[in-house]
Amino acid sequence: MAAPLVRNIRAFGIFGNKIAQIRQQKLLFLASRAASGSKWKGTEVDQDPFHYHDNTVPYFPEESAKKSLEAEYPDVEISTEDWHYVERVLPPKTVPEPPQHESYPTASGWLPPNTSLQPKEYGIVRTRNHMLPLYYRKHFHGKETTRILHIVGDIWKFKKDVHDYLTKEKGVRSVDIQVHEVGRFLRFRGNHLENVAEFLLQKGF
Amino acid sequence: MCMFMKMNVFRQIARTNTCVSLIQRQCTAAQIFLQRCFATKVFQGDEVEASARVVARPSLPIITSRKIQFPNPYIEPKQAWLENMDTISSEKLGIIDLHPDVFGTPPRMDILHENVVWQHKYRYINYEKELSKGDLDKRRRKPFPQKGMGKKRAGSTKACNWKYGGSAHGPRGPYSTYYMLSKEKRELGLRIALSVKYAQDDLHIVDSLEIPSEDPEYLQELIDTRYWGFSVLFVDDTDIMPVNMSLAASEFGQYNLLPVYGLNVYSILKHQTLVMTLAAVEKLEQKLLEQMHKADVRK
Repeated sequence: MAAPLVRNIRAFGIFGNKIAQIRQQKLLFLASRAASGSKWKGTEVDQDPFHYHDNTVPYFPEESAKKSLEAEYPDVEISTEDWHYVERVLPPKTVPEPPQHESYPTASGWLPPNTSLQPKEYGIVRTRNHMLPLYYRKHFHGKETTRILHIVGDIWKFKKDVHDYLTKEKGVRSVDIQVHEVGRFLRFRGNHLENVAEFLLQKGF
Repeated sequence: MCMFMKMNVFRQIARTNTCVSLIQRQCTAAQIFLQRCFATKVFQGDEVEASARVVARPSLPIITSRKIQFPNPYIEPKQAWLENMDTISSEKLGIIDLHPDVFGTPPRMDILHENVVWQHKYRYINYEKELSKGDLDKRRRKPFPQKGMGKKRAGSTKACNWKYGGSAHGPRGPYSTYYMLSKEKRELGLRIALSVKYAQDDLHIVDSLEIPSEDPEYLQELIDTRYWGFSVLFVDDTDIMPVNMSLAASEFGQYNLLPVYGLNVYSILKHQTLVMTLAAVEKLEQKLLEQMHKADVRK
């Protein structure tokens, strides 16, 4: 990668020998210093290889004694008696099923899926958080799109039903809808969140 | 039920210590149900021949119920035969349900392609390097005076236009093409690969990978009889495999053993047939469904 550390003597010309000599001497000096083991001459460093002496902290013999191999520690007992205090605080790994409420819609407006209203040709699988898979996005230049994901079954029939609902019942003049068969989603041009959500809930999805 | 479970334990103890983990393996509900229906027979593992039957089983297939976590309300579970590895020709031990989101996902070639490309690229290091002007071990001196030579002016012999000079814009040193595909795409890729294998009848589920003999010919005959394809990937739930299977499969490059945690899209697509144990299917489904329905998702 880089040029070799020891350059060709001839590259230095008449001073090549001298420079190489100085470099060799320095290397020898460094090697001898490393072999001696101590950075500062005159200080007494412990021979125990596991002893770490932090020079910035005052030297406490009891602290260093604890870290030595011959130190005596009190007996340890492992118990899982109080683990339930930790367990009840840990969050669940997967989203749980929603509880049974007295009346629907709930206070936040949430409705569970209603199988009796669902048609047989297609289905919309709810998200992991039991919400409708309905998403709105605003693009640059003001373009808006609405998407319905997780469509199962006859996606073309679903597109027709949604189109009919929006144009006839909701009075929207025209809706451009993209059917993505491989990705299993429908994409609308414009903001149709409320109307589409009404349609989906009407169908019991 | 107790007799059969003891029988299972005897069979396992007869093998070497490498199978110790099998004894502690928990029995799933499906396995317990199967065990209840089977006839009991004590078996001495070392005395069996390759062609002999290992366990007396009823001839009719048994439908087992398997609990599906997070069921899809619109798609019914997929079904697959539960086969055995004890005999050359497969005996159908039962039918088990497979989760439609794991084994019945609509195919997405782009996701599979992304996964395979990622698997290659993230660990690929390009070692190409061309020495630049500064890397060359040549003199820095001006080769000849500026004027009077009749030659083109030059400051060093390392310039790119010189013969044996440096390379200006060549590849510079080893570099990696490391990047991480999102967990969602990786998990979706696995599900799609498994669905593709299932749809094309290349997925087989067995009760365990224990075979009666370590002779590689037994394994070859078994695979040929069942038309399992040129290459087979055997997937078990733990990384400690039965002795006979390990010895037999080591003779072949195309038959490979893999624990569930090593399952990846490239291996699934590379091997023509995928053979999974029931325990591996349980573990895999549990992991994939946990990932699909996990609570902490960063958007």
